[in-house]
Amino acid sequence: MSDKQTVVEVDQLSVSYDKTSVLWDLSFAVPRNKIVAIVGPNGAGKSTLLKTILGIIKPISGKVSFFGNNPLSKVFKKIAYVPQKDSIDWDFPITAFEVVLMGRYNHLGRFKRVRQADKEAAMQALELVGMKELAHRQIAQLSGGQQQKLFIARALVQDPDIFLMDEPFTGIDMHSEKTIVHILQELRHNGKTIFVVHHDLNTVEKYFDWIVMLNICLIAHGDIKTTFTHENIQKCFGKRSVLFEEASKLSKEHLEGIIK
Amino acid sequence: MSLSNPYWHKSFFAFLKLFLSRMGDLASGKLAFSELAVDEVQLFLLGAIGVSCALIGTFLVLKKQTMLANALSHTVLLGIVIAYVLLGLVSSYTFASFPVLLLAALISALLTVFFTQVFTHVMRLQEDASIGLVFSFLFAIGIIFASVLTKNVHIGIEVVMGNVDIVQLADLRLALSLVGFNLLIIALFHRQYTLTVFDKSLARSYGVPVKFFEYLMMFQTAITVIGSFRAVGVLLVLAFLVSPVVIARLFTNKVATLLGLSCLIGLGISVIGVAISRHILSVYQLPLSTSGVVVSLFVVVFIISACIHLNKKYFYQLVKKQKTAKPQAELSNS
Amino acid sequence: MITLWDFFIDPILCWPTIGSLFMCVGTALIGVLVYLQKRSLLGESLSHCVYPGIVLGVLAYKMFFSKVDLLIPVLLGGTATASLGLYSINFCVRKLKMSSDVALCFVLAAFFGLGFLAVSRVQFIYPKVYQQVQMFLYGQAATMRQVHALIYMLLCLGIVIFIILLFKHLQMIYFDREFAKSMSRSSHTVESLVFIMLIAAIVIGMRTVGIILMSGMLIAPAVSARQFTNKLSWMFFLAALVAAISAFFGNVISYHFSNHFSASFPIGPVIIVVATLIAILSLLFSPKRGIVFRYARIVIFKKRVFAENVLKMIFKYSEQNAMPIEKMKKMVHLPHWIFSLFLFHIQKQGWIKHTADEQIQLTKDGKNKALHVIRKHRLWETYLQHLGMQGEMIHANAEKMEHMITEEMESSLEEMLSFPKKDPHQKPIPQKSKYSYGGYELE
Repeated sequence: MSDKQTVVEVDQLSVSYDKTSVLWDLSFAVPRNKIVAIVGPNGAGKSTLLKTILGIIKPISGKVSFFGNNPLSKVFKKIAYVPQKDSIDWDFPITAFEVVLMGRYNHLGRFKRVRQADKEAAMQALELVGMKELAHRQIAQLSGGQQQKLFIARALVQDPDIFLMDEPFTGIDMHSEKTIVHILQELRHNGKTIFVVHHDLNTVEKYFDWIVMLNICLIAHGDIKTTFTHENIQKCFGKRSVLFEEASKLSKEHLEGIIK
Repeated sequence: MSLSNPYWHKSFFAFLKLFLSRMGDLASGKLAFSELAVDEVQLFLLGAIGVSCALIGTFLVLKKQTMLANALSHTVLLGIVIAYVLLGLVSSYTFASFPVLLLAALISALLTVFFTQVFTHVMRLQEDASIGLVFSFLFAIGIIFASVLTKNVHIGIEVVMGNVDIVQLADLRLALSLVGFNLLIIALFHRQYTLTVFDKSLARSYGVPVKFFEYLMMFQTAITVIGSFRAVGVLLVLAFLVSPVVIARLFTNKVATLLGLSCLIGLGISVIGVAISRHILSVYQLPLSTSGVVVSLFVVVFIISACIHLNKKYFYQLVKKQKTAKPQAELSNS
Repeated sequence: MITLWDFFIDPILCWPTIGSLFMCVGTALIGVLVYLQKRSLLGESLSHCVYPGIVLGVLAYKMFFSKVDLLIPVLLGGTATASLGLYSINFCVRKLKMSSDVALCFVLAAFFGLGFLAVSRVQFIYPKVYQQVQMFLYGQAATMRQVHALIYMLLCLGIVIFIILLFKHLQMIYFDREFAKSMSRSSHTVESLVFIMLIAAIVIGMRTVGIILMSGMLIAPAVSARQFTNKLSWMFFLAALVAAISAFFGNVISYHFSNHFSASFPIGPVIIVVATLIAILSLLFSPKRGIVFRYARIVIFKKRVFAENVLKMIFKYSEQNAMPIEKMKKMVHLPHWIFSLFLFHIQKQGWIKHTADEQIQLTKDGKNKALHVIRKHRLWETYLQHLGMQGEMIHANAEKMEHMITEEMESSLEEMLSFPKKDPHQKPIPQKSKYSYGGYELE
């Protein structure tokens, strides 16, 4: 894969949290124009991987490069993050429109005011996800699917090249799911690359064309058709990896001095 | 300050009328600042405190950290004592010196937040227990220090309760600078505050230093509490922080409106409170604590607002009935 | 000279002591339940709600009686307003959709403010009463008399009986909520009863620690107890013990310090300080969860890891599994006296012996131990490769895990990998010896 083709390259990335290995010696590269599934059992480090790519978490070793050899600092404006739904306070007094507008804060810098162009971009993003009529509704009144679409609209407004989405399909209705998949495919068509932490193995082959399978360490990565095999699924989710999880837990207990 | 109080024996509306005319005089230069009556000083003071508290209170409520602010208001006592000892003075009524208060605010904020973090993260204690334990511990130490140093527990009580009825012009200057400070911080950082409160991950992904703003909010709270304690005492300041916001929240769903409305409510009720307090004194010969009156007013306004809020549908129907009643009446007439 | 025993005998000292003892115990017992429900701040809020009740109670009392006794007004008035406070909090959360943090805080501040308004009235009519009411902010245990101590003892007994009678229900609610929910009607009643008892405990304890410090008395004993046990019955007992100790020594310390420094050391705050210190000590020193012990365990673990690594090093050094002392000292990088201590330690444990020619040699046991560690290392590497991992990290991770793998894990590994003989680097995996019990050998 030539440098121009690689949109994200992860090199021997290791992340630790509380003295436990959460991600371990990950090395993979992802080409452009893909919808990438990130799968693994609970605690595999999928959200951590997203956050490390985003720069929110600092790895203990290894690095992440973008579009060839560029570090995060050069491209952070081109990456948009769609967090898990539960990480937000849904009782906050704010409308859908204002949430999407937040996506523009990054471009505005510290003290500049919101401009007309920003407001129009926000409305357009809402229209793209089919939520134009709900623009001035309080977020507390949105359904699960609408909440998810709202976050995607906020990501859209940042006009990024890379999308990082943490479990966007969890807890939403079928219709919203279909809409979101359609949006992702449109984005891919426009040259974007999307990373999605996904939990439903049944829909992996339908929605995605590239996959990263991990369970603290990298199990497999590559094109869906060749990588998402029975053998790899076994390796990733199967009983064999249970021992590894046990060992990680044990190691954590020893290093923290806790006994059961 | 004038020796004879022009507001003596004035009832509520007479008070307001007199106040407005005197403000007119003040604006046109006929009245000097040093000639302000006690009531006016109280009014400005409580109004300023109302605004300051409403400003930072909005974000505390949105962040659901009001109990932490409660803890902070308790440890302020210890902070003041320590600042005092550090700066070498041990006397009870010269608290108003600015460096003492500033240092006290810093110490209190740091103590509260630091100990709470230690209990929650290092000792793995659940958060509600950490907060409760920290502030009762630090407050107990503060009381013991205060009692020992001043040889008199009653002074401790005065600090805690405050007494707006004996404030002076110098306190007003402090309160006004506090308002200025709060306005400045909110004006500069409201976007960062909103982001930090609403969506930490997004804030972090934008490179906003979340920890810094959380500490800044705590420091802002501490300094507002300390700046207000002379007038309202550390225990009542909590009411000023929370009540206007809680009332305003019943009427609006926008952060900007919440900020503005809370300030108005904080200011308005403080002003009316002073007037009512004077009224009760003049008409019923009942001397009551003015800050107590203001807080009670907060409660009354809250109850009324809650009723309106809960019966919104009822009110809407009433309005609708009026609108539909009219054309029906016309129909039946023709 | 006042002895400790005097605090129970002396007519002036004994009633505050006995009274505070019962109060603190009663409060701590309920505090356990509140703590387990993670609603400790509710106690804080409700204790502030008691304030207006006290004031209004006193005002009402004064209308009928001329003498001022604060007992009845506090109990009745305080209970009334605290209950109203509880109702208000629930109303705000359920009907007005306030977050519980804000509701707790607002009700706290509102009630307290109302009390403050009322008290400013009392201040001018009955200045002496005013002083006494204000003392409720930090408690006024020192003025307790026999009648108070008796009443508080009865109330405390009431709480104890309540807990004993409903123990099974409480256990169900706090440790198995799902099951309790299916028995919903009775669990609801019990929870309401707990809140009633909470208000009772607060109203009782008011006189000792006062309004502001009540949280401490609810939380500190429960926190201390939690560090030592998982069982509800023990938690009650330990919390009561901590409360009793704090109350007693609070009185003692307050008395002695007040005399010594000729200043006023109010009893309530001192009790809280003692209780919190006990809580902090528990958090630090409890055997299972205490920080000090945790760090001790980490140190012991690291020592073991170091020793095992050294044994491996000696094993690999030569055919005879021996190594010159000087060489070993250089490789191990320890200062001289620690090194000697370490040698002494592993010799005592039976892993090594000194040879005639200034070398350190592994004993048979030492050799087996080294082999065992190597076995675990190579088994783990094989496992990692089996999972699909490659590269340097396999060895690095195995270096760590070789010290932590348990017996069970070892047999699971062997089975899963079908009893491998060689690791990914083609090195032989030590097998359990056929010839000697507990031994290993390399083939």
